[in-house]
Amino acid sequence: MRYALFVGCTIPNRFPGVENATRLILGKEHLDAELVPINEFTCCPALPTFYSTDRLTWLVTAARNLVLVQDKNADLVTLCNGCFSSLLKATEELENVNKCNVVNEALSAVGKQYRGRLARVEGHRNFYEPVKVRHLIEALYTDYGKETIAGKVQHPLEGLRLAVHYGCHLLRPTTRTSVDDPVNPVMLDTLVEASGAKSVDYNDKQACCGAGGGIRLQVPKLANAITKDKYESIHAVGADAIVTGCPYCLFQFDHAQKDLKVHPIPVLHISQLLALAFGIDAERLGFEWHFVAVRPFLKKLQAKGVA
Amino acid sequence: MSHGSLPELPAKKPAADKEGDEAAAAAKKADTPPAGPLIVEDSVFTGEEHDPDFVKQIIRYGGKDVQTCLQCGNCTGVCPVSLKTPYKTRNLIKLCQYGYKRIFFSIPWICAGCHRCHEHCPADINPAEVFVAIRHIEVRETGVPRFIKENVSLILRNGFGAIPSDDIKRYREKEGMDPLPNTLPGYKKVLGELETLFKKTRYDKLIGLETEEEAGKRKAAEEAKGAVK
Repeated sequence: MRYALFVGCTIPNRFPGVENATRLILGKEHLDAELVPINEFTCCPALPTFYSTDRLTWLVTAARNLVLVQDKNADLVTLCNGCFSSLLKATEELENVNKCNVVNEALSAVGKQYRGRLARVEGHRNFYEPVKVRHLIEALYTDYGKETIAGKVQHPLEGLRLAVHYGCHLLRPTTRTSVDDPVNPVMLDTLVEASGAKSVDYNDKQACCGAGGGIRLQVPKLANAITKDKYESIHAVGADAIVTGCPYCLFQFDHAQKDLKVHPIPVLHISQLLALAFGIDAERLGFEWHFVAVRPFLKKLQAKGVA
Repeated sequence: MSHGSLPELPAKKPAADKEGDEAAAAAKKADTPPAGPLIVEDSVFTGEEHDPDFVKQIIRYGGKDVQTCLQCGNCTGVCPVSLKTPYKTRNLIKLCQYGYKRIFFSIPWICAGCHRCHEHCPADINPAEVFVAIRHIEVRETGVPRFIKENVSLILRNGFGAIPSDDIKRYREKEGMDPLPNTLPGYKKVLGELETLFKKTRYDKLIGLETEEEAGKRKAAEEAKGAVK
């Protein structure tokens, strides 16, 4: 596996533990992926900002990021649903020759050309070459699979009940980009179960976290009102923690719980959960930047002889 | 969605200065009716707001033809925002059909872009993309929301939309993590490329970018007000 990690804006600057956990689980001692460093990435760019105001600028900026991986023989792997959605959507739109020409005309001003093309179609998914945009969840699920990951687990998280949150932009729009079944997705649940924990079902599991599209930035009260419903469904099934693959969903679940003053349920990124199961020291996973204290969850793990 | 040609930018209105903004906010406050039942008289559509070209404009900026909407309401039933606010997706699409453009300019950008509406739309309208098109029209006709201007300006100066705190920098160092790319000497070239591309697509003019100095002043003012971010 050769991955170029696209860590984006939120993770390295707000939740550095997620970036560290990802590098650790993909490291030699664990999943042993080859990580190709790229230091010229920028913001993906964010859909609510760029895509909402000028589709061409969004596409040109995204294409510039995509060009950086096209000669590296590595898959671009995002740890964020927003980056995933923006960059994957860009590969789709660039399939249109006219759009691609306009974008390349702009990119020529900085000495770059995008050469991505549709390579094959499987089911309702399109695969592009040489630029492959993937999400960590899908990469772990497809390239390693449940058994391999379960085989790397040192401390099975048995007895823990976890609520998974996929987040909208991993699954939708589903027309062509879907990586998983948008109605009954399995990938994140499978990764959680590979850790030994139980993924618990809850009401309206595919609902939005509330933060997306700039709602959190503009009307936090609305973002929290949307989160509240989801929180209550998760609380009702007695989940020990919420697990997601998106830093913005993580941020929203974290902050909304603080704002709503509810019984706290810790929120973890899937990379952090797997790191704990792989026996990586919890002190290294940057939990101090989560608003809802993760310590009670770690204590539960310790009581079971984990972490 | 056509990227074949760059949309023409309208003549830019002079950006309101800070004092102007405050005065406008004060005026708005004074105009706000006291809490109570909705004043129906002020909410009647008289037809003056009607813009016959709105549907065409939406298509021009990448939305689909809203005239094919069946008004079934599936979109509203699955919309997280419709559930929590008076803004119902179905009604908003109806307003598009009738050309009530200006109404949209007074609504904040609260579509989450979750695309659930698209999943359930029998006419394949994709309301989320219609709202993206309306945002395109809004920024060209009435200006750019402040949060967009701040975000784009930061990305142009910094490459990314966030800046780490000192303790996060220390953590990264202690853990032996890769340095943040925008702290490396070669990153100046990257920022230069972004600037070139934004000029090329005329995005710099559209957004009216904020300089570092302006951002600093704004931050100081926010801090003085005790705003917590």
